[in-house]
Order: sequence, then structure tokens, then C-alpha cells
Amino acid sequence: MNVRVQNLRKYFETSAGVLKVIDNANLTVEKGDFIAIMGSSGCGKSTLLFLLGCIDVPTFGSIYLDNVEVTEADESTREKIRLYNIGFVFQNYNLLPTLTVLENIILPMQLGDTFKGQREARALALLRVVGLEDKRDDKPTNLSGGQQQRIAIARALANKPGLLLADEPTGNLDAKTSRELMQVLRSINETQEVTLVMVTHDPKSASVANRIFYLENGQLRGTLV
Amino acid sequence: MFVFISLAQKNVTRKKERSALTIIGVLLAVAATISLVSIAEGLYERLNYEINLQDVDIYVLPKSSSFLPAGSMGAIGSGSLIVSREYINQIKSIAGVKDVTGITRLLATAGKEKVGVVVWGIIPDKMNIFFPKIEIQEGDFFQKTNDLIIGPQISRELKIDIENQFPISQVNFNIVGKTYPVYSFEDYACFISLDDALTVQRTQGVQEIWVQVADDSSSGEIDNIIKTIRKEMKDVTVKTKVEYLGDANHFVALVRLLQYAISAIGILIAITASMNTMLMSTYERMDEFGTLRAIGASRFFIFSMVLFESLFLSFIGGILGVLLGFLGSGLFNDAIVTLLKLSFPVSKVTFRLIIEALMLSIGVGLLGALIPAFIASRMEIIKALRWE
Repeated sequence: MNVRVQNLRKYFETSAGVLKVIDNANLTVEKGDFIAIMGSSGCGKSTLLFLLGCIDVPTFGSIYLDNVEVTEADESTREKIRLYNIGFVFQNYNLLPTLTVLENIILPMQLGDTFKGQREARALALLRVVGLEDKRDDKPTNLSGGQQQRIAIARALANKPGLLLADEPTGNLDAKTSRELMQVLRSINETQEVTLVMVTHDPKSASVANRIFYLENGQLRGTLV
Repeated sequence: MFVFISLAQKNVTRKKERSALTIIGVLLAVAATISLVSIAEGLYERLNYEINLQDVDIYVLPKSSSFLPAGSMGAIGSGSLIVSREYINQIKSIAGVKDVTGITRLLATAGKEKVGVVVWGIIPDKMNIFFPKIEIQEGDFFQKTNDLIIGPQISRELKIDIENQFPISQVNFNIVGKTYPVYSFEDYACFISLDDALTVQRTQGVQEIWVQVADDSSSGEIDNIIKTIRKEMKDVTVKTKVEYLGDANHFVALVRLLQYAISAIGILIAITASMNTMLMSTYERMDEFGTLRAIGASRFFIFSMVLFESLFLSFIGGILGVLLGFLGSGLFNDAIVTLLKLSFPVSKVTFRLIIEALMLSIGVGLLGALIPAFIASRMEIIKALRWE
């Protein structure tokens, strides 16, 4: 999936006045690309990711996913885009604690239209991709942070999205685990033909990406790795 | 499609103590409702049973008499409103009428403990016609002045029997017969001749006239009899048995409504408890709702999930409440039956009551969850994801 961002603005009303978190940002990501967005804490990286993920709406500007503008879509359409076209990986993993590892991965397929008989097989295949097939019946709370994040990645891939958005995926992990996780993401990007947009403050994690963008004063500035 | 059901089921087992408290809240409300309303159900059954002991097609009552339940259960003291005794023969002459009797009830006190006893006044040879199910166990029907037939329960309670005397308003009546038990208030009643009853009451009119129509009468013929009575006797109210039962059931419906109104206090508490639990649970899991929305769950999905959780807890509370209600109603029944020395139950848990109680529990769950479900489903995803 290719991503195009045009003149994107996201402003917030605060008691101190208007806060321009994203201010005329532009970005183009080709299908299968892997980019990292860096910036100081609170600069609006996650806000940008939420806008790309159809979780939030911009104040102004357009976002195109596969050349279809999604910023004007109604909530029902945005739900479907989130379900079928976008996978989200959160810093805190956000796995449902009442479900097993396998159930967490199957959940997006249950929300979608994946045929019942295919769900478990696909979930197990994804568990193999992230190297945790032996943890299928464990509860997320029994896993380490790195393992939970791998499960979160597997869940994000459940409905075969064209775009994977990762919000500080290594933010809660140690250096070694972060490296391993980035290799998983790199491998997924190469083998699953998924476009990957990652927000991180960690230069080592960002270095795995093809390109790095810096968000400063609400605008994006890009560079090749 | 129904993944929200399995998610909701898993969620209710997460905070077991809190779920248990919600269940207990609903359980107590339902049990209290069942225990209370089972009295109205028992009353309904009793009224219908009592009225059906009488083989009457048409009741003729004083014009301005307000409805009181028929039989020994009520109508005591309605003697101030009377129907002219002459109407008995007048009605008997109407084509299609098979039999007629005047009826008067009065209250006597008997025994050392001054037990209140209902005494029926009825034309002597009409007793087995209008009370066909009440048969003589010992002795005979009354033949002459001051003869009395006693019910088996009052006979046992007052320890008086055939050949003993029974005082009514300073007149001693001779007990000449005792009836078989029919497990109704009639077991606690006595029967004397209508003439004796009117003498004791010092009145010339009767409280009611009971009419039987010919066995092969059509509803059109019954209507004609009623029309004739209404036309010829302007100071009476005429009711068919169905109407009489309808009035009785209307009375029970009012009692039932009153009991539900009393139960409403418990139900409101249950709704508040359920809403409190669901609100706490919702706010605690706001980040999970955010996650679900972020991965594609619809608002309807979140709404349904929260709603189902509440309904699930309430339904369990409802089922347990029904069981406890059975117990409560049974204990109440035993206490009243023992206290009043009755030979029949006063409360009854009917299938209708069980269904109503379960629907009530579902209603509690529904009302308790509407606001939390709305909050969870309408929360902005970003706010939900960042919820602490």
C-alpha cells in the first residue's frame, strides 16, 4: 500500500492558545517501503501515526492510502480501513489479557470476514513468523515484553493489511530485545510485502528502516538511511 | 459475528468479586419480587378456585355495590346494600332460568378466642345446587329453623361438632351437619338457611342473588335473561360469572401492581448496583476498548459487548433470584399457613411470575449497562488508548 500525505495539519485548542502539532506535513511512502519517523518527545510523532491509521482526523490536509483519500471518510468506512488495510502495533502492546495468545491473533479475523476454518491456521502461521508458536495457549501476562510485542505484531498482520503502523514498538524493551524485534519487523516488511511506518525515538531502531523522517515544528524532513 | 459474546463472558470472570456483587444485587431484587408477587399469584389462584366452587351463571348485586372478592374471602359487611328478596321469584319466572337463590353472608364470632367465622345464608335446598362440590361428611343438610352446617376446619379449630351449638348474634344454632374439606375458605365457614340469616341480620333483602340458567342455554339466551333482569329491576347490577371473575382478577391485578411497586425499590437498587459495576469495569478497560476500536471493532461491537456483559450477570442473578424467590415464597407461605391454620397455600410461584422475574433481571442488566455501553462505544479512540 502506498501512502501520501498532503499539507497535513493537526491543531489542538489549549488554554494557552492553538497548539500546531502537525503543521503542513507532506510525505510519500511507496508500497513495500519501510520508513521511520523520529523526533523529540511530544513533537507529534504518535499523532501523525494516529492520523495515518484513521484513528484521528486532521484539522486540514489529506491522506491518501493507495491513492484513495481517507480523511473525508465517515466513521464506518474508517472502521473498515482500520480492520482490513491497517495493522497497528502499540508501544504498550495492548493485547487483551483475557484472551490467549492465539485468541488475540484471531480476534481481528473474527471482527473481519476471514473464513472460520482459516483463522487458526493463519494465526499459527503468524506465530511462526514471529517465532512464538509454542506460546499459543499462554495468556499475554505470562510473556515477556519482547514476546508480547511479537504477538502484537502478529495480531497486526492478521487481516493481511497493506500498511503496518508501529508506535514506539521498542519503547519498553531492552537493547537486545529491541534489536531482535526490529529484525522481525524488517523480515516482515521484506517477506509480507507490507508497507511499514514506524515512530521511534531510538536511532538504532530507526536505522533498520529504509528512510528516516524527522518531525520538527510540525513538519517532516526526510533522509535515506 | 458473535465474538463480542465470548469476549464479554471472559470479561465477567475477570473481577470475580465485583461480578458476584452485581449478581447478588440482581438476585436479591428478583427474590424479593418473587416472594412478594407470589402472594398476588396465590390470591389469583385462590379467588378463581373459590369462585369456581360456586355453580353460578349470573350474579345479581345491589346497584351501587363496589366489587369485593366473592366467597368467604370477602363481601363481609356488605349487608347495608341489599337486593329485594322479591326479585328471587321474579327472576325464577324468566324464561331460560333454571334455578335461583338469595345469598347473605354475615360474620359471627365463636369460641373462647372469639374466632371470626363467615356464615353463609342460603335457601336450604339450594346449597347442593349452588355449591355442588361441597358435600356433607356427617349429619345432614339443614331442615328446620336454627339448623347449621359447619365446615371441617372450623369444627376442628373450635372443637365443636354435630349436636353441639354454635352462637350467632346471641342465637344458638344447632349443628346438624359437617361438610367434607374442599381446601378453601368454605372449610372455615358455616351455612344456615337464608331465612335465619336475614332474621339474625334483621333485614328483608339479600346481599346477592345467584342464578343458574338452563344447561342448554346459548350466550344469546343468557344475554336475554340479563337484559330482562336489567329492564325489570332497576336497582341491581348484573354480572355473568366471566365478568365476576374478571372483576376479581382486576382486583388481583391491582394488588399485583402494588407489590411490583414495592419491589421497585429493590429493583432500583439493583439497577444502580449494576450500573456502578459496569461503569467501574468500563473505565478500567477503556484502553482495551480503544485497542479494539483501533484494530477495527465498530462502535456497535463495543456497545454490544458491554451490554452483553451486564445482561449475562443479570441473567445469572435472575436465575439464582428465582431459586431464592421460591425459597422465600415457600417460607412466607409456611409462616402464614401455620399462623392462620389454613389448609391451603396462600402464595404461589407461577410460570408467568418466573418469566416476569427473568425479564425483570434482563431489564435491570439492560438499564444498568446502557450508560456504560454508550460511554465505552462513543469514547474517542485516542483518549481511550491513553486512558489511565
